[in-house]
Amino acid sequence: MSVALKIAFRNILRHKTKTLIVGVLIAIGIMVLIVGNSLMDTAERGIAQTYVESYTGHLLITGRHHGNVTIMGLEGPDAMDAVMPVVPSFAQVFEYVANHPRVAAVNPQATAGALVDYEHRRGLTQAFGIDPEYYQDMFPDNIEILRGRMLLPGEEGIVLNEQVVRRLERTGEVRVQPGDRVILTGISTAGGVRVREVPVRGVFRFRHGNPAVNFVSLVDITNVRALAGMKLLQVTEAELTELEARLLGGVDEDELFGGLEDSLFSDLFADADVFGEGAWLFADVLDEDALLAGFGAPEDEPVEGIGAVSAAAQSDAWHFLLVKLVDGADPKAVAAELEQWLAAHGIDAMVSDWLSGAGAVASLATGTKLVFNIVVVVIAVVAVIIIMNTLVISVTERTTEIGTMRALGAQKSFVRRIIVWETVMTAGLFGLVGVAAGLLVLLILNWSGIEAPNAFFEVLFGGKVLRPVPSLRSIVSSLVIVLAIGVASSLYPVSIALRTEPVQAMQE
Amino acid sequence: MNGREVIVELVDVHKVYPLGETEVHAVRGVSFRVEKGDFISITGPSGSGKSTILNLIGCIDKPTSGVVKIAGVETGTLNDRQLTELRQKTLGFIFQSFNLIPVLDVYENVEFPLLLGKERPGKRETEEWINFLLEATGLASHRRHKPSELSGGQRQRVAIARALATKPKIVLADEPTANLDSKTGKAIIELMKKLNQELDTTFIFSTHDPEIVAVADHVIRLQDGRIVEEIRSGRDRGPAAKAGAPS
Repeated sequence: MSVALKIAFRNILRHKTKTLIVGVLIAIGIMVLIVGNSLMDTAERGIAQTYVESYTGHLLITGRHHGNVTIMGLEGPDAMDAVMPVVPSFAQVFEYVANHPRVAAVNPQATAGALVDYEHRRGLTQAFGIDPEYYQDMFPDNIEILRGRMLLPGEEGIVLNEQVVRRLERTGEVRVQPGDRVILTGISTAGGVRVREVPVRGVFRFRHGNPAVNFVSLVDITNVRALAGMKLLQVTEAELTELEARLLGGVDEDELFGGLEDSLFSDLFADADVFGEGAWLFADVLDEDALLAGFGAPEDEPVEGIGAVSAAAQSDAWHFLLVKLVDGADPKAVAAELEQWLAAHGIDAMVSDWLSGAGAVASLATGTKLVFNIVVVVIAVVAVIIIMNTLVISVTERTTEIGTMRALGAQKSFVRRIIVWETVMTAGLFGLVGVAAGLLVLLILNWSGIEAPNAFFEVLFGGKVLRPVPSLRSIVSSLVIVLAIGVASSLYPVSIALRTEPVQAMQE
Repeated sequence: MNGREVIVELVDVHKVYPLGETEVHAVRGVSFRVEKGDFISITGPSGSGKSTILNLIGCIDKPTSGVVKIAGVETGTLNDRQLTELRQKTLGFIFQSFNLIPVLDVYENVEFPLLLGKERPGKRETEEWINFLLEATGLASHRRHKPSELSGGQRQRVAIARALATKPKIVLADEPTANLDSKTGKAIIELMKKLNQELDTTFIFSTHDPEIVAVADHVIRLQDGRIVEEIRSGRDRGPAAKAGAPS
């Protein structure tokens, strides 16, 4: 053992009280770091896994946009006014991405917020416009059908989320059954008010649901396009009720807007259903441009494997192409490659990671981690100040001793080694104690589990119960932090020690 | 002069310390030489400049003007690293308050200066030499004691052994008996004199004690930073080194 190390070690033992005060602080700090980081990592992994496996895939391709585009639509204060971008040159993009060697699955998707009306009850849903084949290929286990069945390929309809149904059925007077029809009303400043009547095919719940996605329903893409005010690609004949038929059929403008007394409105005004709660009559069901644009959708050549493009997927208007990668693929590298390809082909689209696509809710974990990291920095600064002060006192008390060493021929580097050794040994030893204590706390928390007290924590935990597992990253980073704290704490005391002149050995 | 090697030389040395807005002239134009093997006492009343001159010779302070030469090297031309190296190789220190390192035992304290040099003797050679020093200072039975377990006299013996560990050409002692009772102080001076004669090491010490001054063969008396008297006694020096002692 070098003499500097020996002196440092014995100095630590000699100043037991000071060492203990500093050590306990370090141990507590490290314990907090390990437990906190492991909690954050576990939650982050949980959220990432949930979203990648169930909602977003690894990457999202969208039309170029400003602001936040998520699978739920536009987020932010301008969301109602802005138009959700579609993926340009969709068929070309789809074909390239679906056949990319590092892509395991793709899922075209669109989204629209909609009111759901059923038997004079109203709910709210976020309609995910999907092609069921691609959706189930990409997210095979993410839903559980509770009533009825999943949408079939090419079929019109909605599979309602359990939470939406629960709202519609809250009075207990009605029960939504497969085969029933619901009215979906999409409203936006850009798209106006659009109404679709859609048959219910089933009721489902997400296996890894959270409050942010529990009002999402799965709808055929045609209806979602209509609700979102996107280009219409298919025309369906509406099944009208008697009242609707009377309203829309066999009337001309004169009849409609003629003398009020014997006009159509005289009957209408008498009918509370038209203007009462759940009124949907004056919605813009189909606009002419949309109708015209929908005809003649291209029929591309079918492609083998996962790249086989169905009629729906080939259609132009999709908000997203969600991409799931093969195991081991680096999302950043693939994203860069896709961006490069898009740019090379003059396609004005963007590639985002799952976190951007998941939106504000999933960003909560990242935000919380940021807050935690700020707390860590504050703890570190406080620890540095306390350790530094203690060391400064220790060094000042040893001025004569250090002066004597210098007089006897110790270079400044020797003195520096002693102080740094003392700090690093104290930090290292008590850092390990802190790691052990942190692991013990995590073991207990893992065994007992932390139940999410509310929806906020459910999102944060990535589920109802969080069972934190210690992460090697958190242990290593905590030890690195403690050593950095040790070294940082010793800088000022070392500078004081180095300013100690050998002549101070004479000044007892 | 008798042709012996000059080990220390001061030429017109001044040392001025700032004290607020005024200056204190601690040393005013001091010049003298010390020859190898001298047992020299620098004496004078408090504030006469004894400690300052000792510090200048010990390379732990620099003169305001003038030349200080140690073993032929002009210290004013050296940087901190070189001065530290010169102290480690050429000088040994004995402090008034012993200044032992509290966390090291007797053996380790004596060994300490040897571990600071770039060129270290072998482990066996080191052990033999330290054992010799501990025998010579009467500390063989206390080798594993910590300084706090020793008396004042024993601590100063450890300091003497430590000062000699690197076989320096010069040992500086700043009032080595000031914190000791007269009997112990006398014993310490006798020990220093004995080692001076046996190892031919130059001893330079500052003191007020007339009994110690009487033992010295070269006395420099200071007053107000100036030499007022310098006495060289013709002494019969002993053998250059103790027979059998490691060189």
